[in-house]
Amino acid sequence: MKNKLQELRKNRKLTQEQLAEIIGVSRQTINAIEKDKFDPSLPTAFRMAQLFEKKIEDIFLFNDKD
Amino acid sequence: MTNERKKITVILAVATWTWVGSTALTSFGPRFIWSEDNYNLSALSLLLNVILGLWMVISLRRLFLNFDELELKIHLDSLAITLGLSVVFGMGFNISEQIGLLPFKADISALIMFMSLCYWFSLMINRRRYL
Repeated sequence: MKNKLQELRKNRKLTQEQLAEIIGVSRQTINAIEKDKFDPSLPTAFRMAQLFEKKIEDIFLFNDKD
Repeated sequence: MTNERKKITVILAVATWTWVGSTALTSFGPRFIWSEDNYNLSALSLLLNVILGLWMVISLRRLFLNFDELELKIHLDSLAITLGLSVVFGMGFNISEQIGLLPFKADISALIMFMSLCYWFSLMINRRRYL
């Protein structure tokens, strides 16, 4: 699943480490999500949406083929 | 690695190595440390081995509960591959002994070694895939 996490994180001037700590996952997980290698769980996606004050679908671009 | 993760990992390492030590004690104790007729000591050693084994399982579960979602996915995927391959190759190994294809005795330690290697290789492949 494509996402805008890296762009949103950089706009907030957050490092992967800082974002990981806020969301409650490892830095490697943030990295894997940003590289579209891993789709986060629903609670993690909600935490990201709350943090960036966006809707989940504004951060994660759902493609039925994924 | 967080302090909590370090603590859980150290506890798991201690539990694992004491279990390995107690397995060796239970296996070789009756032959080299106490008399084979001393069933009380052998039973006590076996009981200690089981208790330490349960401690190891509980410690491993605590580590899994501490994993985040990606780590959990990597480890569960590796465990699934290990379980599947162990059943398939374990049965093949056992049958090959029964029909006389194996020139040596099929020992449980060979299966444990096989499982360890499967888990390690699966972890390496999955880590490369996601990280």
